[in-house]
Amino acid sequence: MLVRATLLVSLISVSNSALAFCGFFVAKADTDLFNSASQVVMVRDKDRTVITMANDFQGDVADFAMVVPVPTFIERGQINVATQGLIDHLDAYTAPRLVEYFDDNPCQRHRVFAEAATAGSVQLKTSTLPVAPPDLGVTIEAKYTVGEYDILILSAEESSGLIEWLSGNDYKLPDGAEEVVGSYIKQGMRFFVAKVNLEAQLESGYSNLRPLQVAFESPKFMLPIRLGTLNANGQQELFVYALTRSGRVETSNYRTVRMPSNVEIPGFVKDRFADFYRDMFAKQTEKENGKAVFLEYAWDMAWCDPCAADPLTSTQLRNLGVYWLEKDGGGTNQSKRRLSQRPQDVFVTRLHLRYDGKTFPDDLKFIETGDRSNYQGRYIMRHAWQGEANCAAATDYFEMVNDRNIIAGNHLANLTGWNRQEIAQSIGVVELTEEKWWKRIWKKQ
Amino acid sequence: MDPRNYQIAALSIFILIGVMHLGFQIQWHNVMVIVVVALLTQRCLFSHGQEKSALISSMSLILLLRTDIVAIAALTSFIAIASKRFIRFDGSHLFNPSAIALVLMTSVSSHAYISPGQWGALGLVTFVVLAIGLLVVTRAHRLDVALAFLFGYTSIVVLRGLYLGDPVAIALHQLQNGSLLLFAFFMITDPKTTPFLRTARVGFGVTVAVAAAILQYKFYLSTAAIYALVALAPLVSVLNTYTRNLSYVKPSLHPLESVKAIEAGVIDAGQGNSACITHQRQQ
Repeated sequence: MLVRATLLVSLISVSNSALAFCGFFVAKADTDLFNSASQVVMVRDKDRTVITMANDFQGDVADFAMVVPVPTFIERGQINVATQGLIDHLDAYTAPRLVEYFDDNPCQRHRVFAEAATAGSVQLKTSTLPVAPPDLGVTIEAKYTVGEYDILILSAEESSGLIEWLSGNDYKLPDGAEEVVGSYIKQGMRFFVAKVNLEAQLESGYSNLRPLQVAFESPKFMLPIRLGTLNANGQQELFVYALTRSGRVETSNYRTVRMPSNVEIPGFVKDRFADFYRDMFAKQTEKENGKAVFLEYAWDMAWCDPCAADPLTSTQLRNLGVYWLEKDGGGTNQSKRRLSQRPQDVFVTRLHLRYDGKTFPDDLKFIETGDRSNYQGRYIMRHAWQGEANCAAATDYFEMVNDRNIIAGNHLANLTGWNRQEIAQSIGVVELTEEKWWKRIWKKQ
Repeated sequence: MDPRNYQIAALSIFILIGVMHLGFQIQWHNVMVIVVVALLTQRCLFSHGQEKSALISSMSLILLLRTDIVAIAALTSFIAIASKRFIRFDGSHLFNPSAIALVLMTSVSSHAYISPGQWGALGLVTFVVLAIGLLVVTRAHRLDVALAFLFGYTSIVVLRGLYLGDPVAIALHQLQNGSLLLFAFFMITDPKTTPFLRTARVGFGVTVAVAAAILQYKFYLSTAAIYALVALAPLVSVLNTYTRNLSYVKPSLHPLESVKAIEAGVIDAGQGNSACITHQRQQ
């Protein structure tokens, strides 16, 4: 029993990162789960919200349970399941991207834009959302099966009732859960519990748990993250993808900061792009004292430039809850759409935060702004000409390349905090010291 | 020195901090349009100067209004200044100019919005010291309304937190919102749109706080304070009319208050400590 309790605690502490939107992982037995980040898609128009919560629960599905707080009462029909592919596609489409350009022969007078490639999404891992079930002093308003999930819609008047019910049903909750649940209940929030129905899961044919979706109507445009901060196992990662009509989404109670973008970095980062982005994110978070939400992408869903992935089709968007779109043919002619820039009436925002109870004590509250200007995390590599170049212009060119590399190396060091000496070695210079500006004046004569 | 100079300096500092340190998405063509339209409107609609007043209104708009359409920036600026000329009651303008313009434009157009999270959670002490320091030298005679608002709002936030059983960190986080403090020190303190008697000002500050809290927590309006100020602006006229009808200032009025009141034209010079309130309003 003691062993079990210990395991439960560790499970919960690992899983609490999944509390992005919602609840907390609660495990009934030991499980081998690991969740490093959560992903939530929020479709918002006026007071209508559709939330899709990714689920990358890795343990025995029989142990999976998730308690989800929602701002208002929901009924049967407001909960649905989606496919993970939708979120993966959205992740890829909005991911920070590496682009590269190749210099032309410096002995040919003009330089031509050669190629813009994209690097895939930065795999910071995705998440899951977990929770638990009901009993004492708690009314089960409805109980039914959606996809592979058994859903219990709960109505609790007091947090103690819900907590007792959960505990009585063998679900281990983190310390402090009662206070948070109590606060949510007093704020009029409701809860539903999702568990896996093994038979239904077998029938569904899906080996992994699919994302849960919930649609509701409430003026509250927020994500309850407090439950997720209860376990003291460090910071958690959350990605929020907002799909709206009028424009970019930002947090109203925390500062939303744009990630540095359109920066030139050395070519060797190509093989370490994930490291680069992860370290840059850590550095920027530190710079903001851990208290900022970062904007990684804000774009009209009709197109992209460069595209890390094709824009989502109307059908895909509808499946994510974008109810105002008409159905299309189901995603054919993607590349054609990429060029046509057909208006989709959907604006996507990708927000990324790393949080704990200290830096983000309150839930996330959002506003939809009227800003439709496009923004993307874009990092640029310029590759020097590798062929023969025997002309006077080539000397100047290679000096320029050297200066450019040093500048890019400095960018890299400043953005990530990587060791300057190591960067210098990687780009083949002695040190990352930029040439004095005045030297260039006479050198050019 | 004209206290408005201090206010212009303070707002300039905030704009610079916002742009250089906090990455405010201020578009410079909007800045130019807002300032030019405000000054021109002021010049056209009012016979005598007061350009500084128009400049202060336009700086508030620069700090608060975000829009991707220049015409909206221009229209907001025009409404702010024109409201002083056309929405008047009892000889004085009714609404805080920038507040009414922001409320109107953000209500009718999705292209105009306010970014309440743009300041983040400031270091409370630093900000308050700065703000209070500026207030002391500029408009100490309106510190009461700022403090009344902050006292009221803080009380509600803290009591709400206690009721919900939330940790203190949440209330502290909510109270450190830079937009809230900026509102308290630089918007609700506008002398032309606050009651001219101190007790009325304190009551007004607390009332705005209550309304702001209701809009914030009941109706989930992220820019609640500005809406509350606009909604309650008529109350200022009511309070002024009511207090004027009392026709008597308590003898206990502090001598310094009397001087200020005389300077502001609220009290007849020569009537000193026990002065009757005249029907003259501050202009």
